Amino acid sequence: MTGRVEGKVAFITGAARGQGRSHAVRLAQEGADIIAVDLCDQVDSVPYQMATSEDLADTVKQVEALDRRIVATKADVRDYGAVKQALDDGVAQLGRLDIVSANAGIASYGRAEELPEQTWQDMIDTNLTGVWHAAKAAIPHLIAGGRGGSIVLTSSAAGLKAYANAAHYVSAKHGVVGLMRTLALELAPHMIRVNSLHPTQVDTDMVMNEHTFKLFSPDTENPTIEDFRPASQALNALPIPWVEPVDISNALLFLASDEARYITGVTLPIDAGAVIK
Amino acid sequence: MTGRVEGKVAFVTGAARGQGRSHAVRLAQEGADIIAVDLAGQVASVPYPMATPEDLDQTVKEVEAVDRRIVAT
Repeated sequence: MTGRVEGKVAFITGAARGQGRSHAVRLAQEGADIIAVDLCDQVDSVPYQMATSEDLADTVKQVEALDRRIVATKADVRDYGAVKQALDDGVAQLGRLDIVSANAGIASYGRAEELPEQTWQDMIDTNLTGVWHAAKAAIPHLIAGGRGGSIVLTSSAAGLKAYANAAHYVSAKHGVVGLMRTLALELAPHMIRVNSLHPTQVDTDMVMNEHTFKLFSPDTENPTIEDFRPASQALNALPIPWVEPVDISNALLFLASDEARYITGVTLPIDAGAVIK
Repeated sequence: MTGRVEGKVAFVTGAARGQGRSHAVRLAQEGADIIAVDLAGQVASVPYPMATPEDLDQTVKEVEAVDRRIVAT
């Protein structure tokens, strides 16, 4: 049985846990080798605990358990030089590049007029500029390969509609759509496809924490996941509170595979209908 | 290996040829049974020759060749 991305190599940012780890494992299950990066550290303006080096090591174990190769590096997507170095090393070791998942992202909350400047800047630097850095570092490898390729940018339902208390996040995620469309146009002559993913709430540490619970239940003293469940479900059209990381990975897998060989410039919601609501 | 739509039943309109036939065969390859319909006749205002009952028969053959059931009308 040949995998759906057999023999390809995928570059994934934010791969230590959450959606990024799920992407690495799902693509590896379908035959890809992985080049993984993650900050593995805290950003001061981010209220929840971010991923660690141990998390990234766990991703490595899970990919290797599938008999695929993985080159994992601690690197900050805000630092173009670090992203390029990690990717160049990975391509040198694995021999090619076919798929890019610009997935690394953070969340923080506050009304637009109250956001500290550093909180705004960290968000734009990570969730928008970090995505561009991943693409910028990867494009020369994809073009040099001469086999086309698939770049998938992780945006959000918040890349297609507004949500209060997240102007910086909504702005960055909308920006990703503009970047995606421009890259799709620029890279089409090389048969490199560029699309974006737009998840609703996903069951990961970025969402499942006391800060998100409080945002959704501001009048409850110590809100729990049980308070969050109906509040989160109210965002979606389908009667579910959130989606799982593998749901996003399956959309990524489709766009990364040759099944999507003529699909480019698409904003694909995996959002339980949040955007139409 | 379980197909990606194993055990499901799909209703495909315009299944005699073109995209509709491709849909029927692709879904059948992944484990679905098919309910197919097609006009299999001409619409006077359409300038090109439309699908025929023979085309629909061909779709039936191709689905049955991958060991899935098809009800074509």
